Amino acid sequence: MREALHAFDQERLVEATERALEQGYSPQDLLEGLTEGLREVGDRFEKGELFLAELVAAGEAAKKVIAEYLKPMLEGGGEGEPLGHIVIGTVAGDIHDIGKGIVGMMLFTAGFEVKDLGVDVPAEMFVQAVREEKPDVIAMSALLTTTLPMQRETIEALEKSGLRNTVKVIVGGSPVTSEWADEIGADGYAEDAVGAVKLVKEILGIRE
Amino acid sequence: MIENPKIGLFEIFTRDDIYRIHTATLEVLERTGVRVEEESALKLLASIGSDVDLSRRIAKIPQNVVEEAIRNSARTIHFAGRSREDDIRLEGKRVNFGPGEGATSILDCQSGIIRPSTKDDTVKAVKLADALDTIDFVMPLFTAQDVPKPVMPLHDLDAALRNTEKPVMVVDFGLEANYLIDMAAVVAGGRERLKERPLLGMYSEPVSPLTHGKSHVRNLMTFANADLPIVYIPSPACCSTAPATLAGAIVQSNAETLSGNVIAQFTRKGAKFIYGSDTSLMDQRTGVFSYGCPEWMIFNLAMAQLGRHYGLPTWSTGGCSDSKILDGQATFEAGLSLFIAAASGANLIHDVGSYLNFGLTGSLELLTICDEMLSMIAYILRGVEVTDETLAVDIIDKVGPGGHFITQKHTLEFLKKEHWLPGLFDRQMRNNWVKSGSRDLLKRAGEKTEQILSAHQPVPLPADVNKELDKTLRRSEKEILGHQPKT
Repeated sequence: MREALHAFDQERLVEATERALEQGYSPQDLLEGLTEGLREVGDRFEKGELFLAELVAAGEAAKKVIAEYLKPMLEGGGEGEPLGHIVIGTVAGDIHDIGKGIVGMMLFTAGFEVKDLGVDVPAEMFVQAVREEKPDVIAMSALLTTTLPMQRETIEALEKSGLRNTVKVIVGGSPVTSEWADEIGADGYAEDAVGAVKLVKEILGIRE
Repeated sequence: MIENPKIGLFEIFTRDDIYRIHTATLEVLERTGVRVEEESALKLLASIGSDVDLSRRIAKIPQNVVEEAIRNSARTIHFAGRSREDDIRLEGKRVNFGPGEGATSILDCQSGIIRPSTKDDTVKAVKLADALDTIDFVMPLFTAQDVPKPVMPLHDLDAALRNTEKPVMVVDFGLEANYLIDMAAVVAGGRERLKERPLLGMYSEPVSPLTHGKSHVRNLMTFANADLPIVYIPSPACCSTAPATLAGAIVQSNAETLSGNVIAQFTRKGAKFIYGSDTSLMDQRTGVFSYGCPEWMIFNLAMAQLGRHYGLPTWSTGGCSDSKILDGQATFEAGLSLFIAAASGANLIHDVGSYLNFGLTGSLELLTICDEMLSMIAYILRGVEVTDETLAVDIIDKVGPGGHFITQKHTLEFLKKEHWLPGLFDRQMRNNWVKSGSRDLLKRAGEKTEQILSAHQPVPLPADVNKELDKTLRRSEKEILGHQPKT
């Protein structure tokens, strides 16, 4: 499985998973192995050994195996809790997808559970997700200067609904600065996807 | 401006390449189609024979429609300045240069400090662009970070309209385009007069891959109806929002801009559509959209050649760098990309001296340095004039073997006409250079920038126009924000 993961090959990873399950490995062990493998992939990317497309491919492959094979078998097991729950999305009026997708994948690779709300996400949808999913962090992306104010509006909507104190809020996107993050009362901002993982760990008090 | 350069254009495709790219593009538009988030545009596309799925918001556009739109496009676009002397034409191989818009921070090269850009920085950038000879049209370079964000595009435009007589282009940033047109109409003397003297162009973007966002399509249609110049070009990145292969990214870019042209031409036949793309790649180590890589420069050559093949006025990009500071990398990437864009023969080349740090940071000094490089590039592309007089056979005979040309009348007559003189690049002997303070390029560019800004006074708008522009700006701000911001 490790080999398939490091070859970024989804089909091979699925095959290897099926084989391992037949051979009697427990889904719990496989999940732990996969998580460890993903962490290695993330580390290699940070060192500059891997390309972004390879990181995303490995993440997608692992996500499929976890969602379609391991998770269903583990229901109720409760073991191997993720590092934290993240809800991520691009704010209303903005349909830019890719940066948010990479940040989501990096967080997933690092061991977080990530729920992706997609693009053009209205403030109410973030609020609803916080109410229902009870995430530890919500992450908002905006690429257009004119959609940046939606990050502020979303934070205000969280305040109005009384949920602001239940969740950490981080913001990102090309025109976002740490000054902007401070101004709108976000809990943090990172310049890139690697920084986003560090930031989330920091604000959740998770040691490296 | 470089007008009909004598030197052959830098072209990269054979006729066969162009044919294959064109047919592949038509296949993408007819088979895959584009997503259009604006319903009125979807209905328009359906009414002209596209296969439209309203629930998925996908329009598959048939070949004949794409080609009809190309045939209906304006072949030549008159882009007006406030005064007629500043008018430019977009056609053939005429190459015009201007800054970009979008930087959210400014690099002060003397102190090395980067800080958020303000409206005052935008005013300075426009003044500088107004003064520089090689700059033909003006974009505001910075975005004003000290005004409420939803009305920022209005303030960028305000700074431009008041501080230059050259044609003005602004980015819509998703803001309703009529607000921009209202302001330009004040300067032109009404909307009808603005049609005759189109002194405002708009830059807007589809979102790659193959998606036309709601506000951007609406603005495209608004500008088409107002008969004003529209740049509508995508910025896809290889490996993320476009295929990894260069040809594939070109096909997709072509499909994105040409489907925009379909919407423009069927909104108003003869719409002043400017073709192009700002295609680059997502760096595989850092994820950034590069503004200095060689792939980006090849894409600029490709799109200029394709646009010229279609007979459409073209848009391009140059004079930027991925460097964070104004260093050797910055001047090399800016200079090379400017040369490439100029030699491509594209009609409007933007972002000159505006983008460091992937488009986030601007620098006035870089604009000043680009002015010097552009004047050199324009000189090179002018080529060599070959006449009896310039062949100089009589003078060569007169001087003969072993003589010299320094005192010849012919020399005195031609030295100024024929040669390029540096204004910023240094050619002093070392001792004199040391005596004059051992100033490097950065220092000299800083001093020249300061000098221009303190000496140059752009022609002001008439007092009544100024007042009217104030009123229009305040009224628009109130409408957009729901209240009047403090000034």
